[in-house]
Amino acid sequence: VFTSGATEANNIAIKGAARFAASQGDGRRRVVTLATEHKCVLESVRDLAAEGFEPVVLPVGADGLLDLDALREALAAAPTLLVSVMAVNNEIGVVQDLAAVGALAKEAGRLFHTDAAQAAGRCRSTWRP
Amino acid sequence: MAANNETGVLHPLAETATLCRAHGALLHVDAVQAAGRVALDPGLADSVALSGHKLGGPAGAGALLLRPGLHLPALVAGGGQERGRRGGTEPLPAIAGFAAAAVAARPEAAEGLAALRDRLEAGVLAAAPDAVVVGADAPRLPNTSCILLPGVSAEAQVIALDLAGVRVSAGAACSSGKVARSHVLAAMGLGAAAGCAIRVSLPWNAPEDAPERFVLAWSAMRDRLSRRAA
Repeated sequence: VFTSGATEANNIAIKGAARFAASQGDGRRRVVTLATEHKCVLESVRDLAAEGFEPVVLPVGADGLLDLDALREALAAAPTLLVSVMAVNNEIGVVQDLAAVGALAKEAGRLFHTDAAQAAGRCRSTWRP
Repeated sequence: MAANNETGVLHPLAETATLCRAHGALLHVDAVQAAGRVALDPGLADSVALSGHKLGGPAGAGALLLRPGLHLPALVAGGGQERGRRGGTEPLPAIAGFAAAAVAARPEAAEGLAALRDRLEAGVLAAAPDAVVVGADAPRLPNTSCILLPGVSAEAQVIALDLAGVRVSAGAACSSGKVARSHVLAAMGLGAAAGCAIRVSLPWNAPEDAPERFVLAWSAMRDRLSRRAA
């Protein structure tokens, strides 16, 4: 799908996946992301709260990285529909371990979305959609 | 909408605005087809939608004119651009092209196209009394004709005219490629004939002999396809 850019793409991916799942009778309501995501991801995830979804915004460590145990806990606590984790942060350039995050996120049929706006063309991805 | 994209029919916006105001309803106007072609008073509406590429600008930028004080949440979240009403980096080249097209647009010159259009329609009706110019009695854009040829599918007409070097569309150009009868013409009560109309648009620089050349190609197309249909 061609879009006007990553802001629109993130909006479509996150809100679209959640709304489609809900329209298909999927009972999963949890949507997990990080505190350091781009505003368009954070606001898309937060906007879903008004539609009955449960946004979970995980903290990152002092190094800017997601703690995989925190992700494991969040996923174990409630049936999760979607995990959105950016490849590279737009303010500090920190590279998340997408191979590990993606593998964990995609277990049990969960959806995994990544905002690769900052990473594309600058670093090799270890993860493929 | 200000002007319909398939028929060019202009809706009575001033009266619509008065009615809306009397009942406290907001009025939104899709002015995509009308902008640059007829005079418009954007102050009539609470919001007005425009598209750069329909004015001759590059694709990728449009605009929503908002009455001051009208607040609406963003459909595309994040970033805070456009004062929080639309997230995403603005496509500056497309916006600049849109602006240039808007500056160059001359509604008063577009009115000159009405004479060409009238000649084109008169030629078609003279060649084929069974043809119908949809919305002929309504105020219309100066450059748009919706011509219905009963019994001949719009797709067949488009293909035949294309082979003759005339580019027209079946219904809305946006949905061309899918074979479906026009919802606009169906809503106007044309029933099965709603699948038998083509839209002819005259560009701003249409040559003086465009109507005659069109009528020639259209008549040949009609002779061939009507015979086959019969």
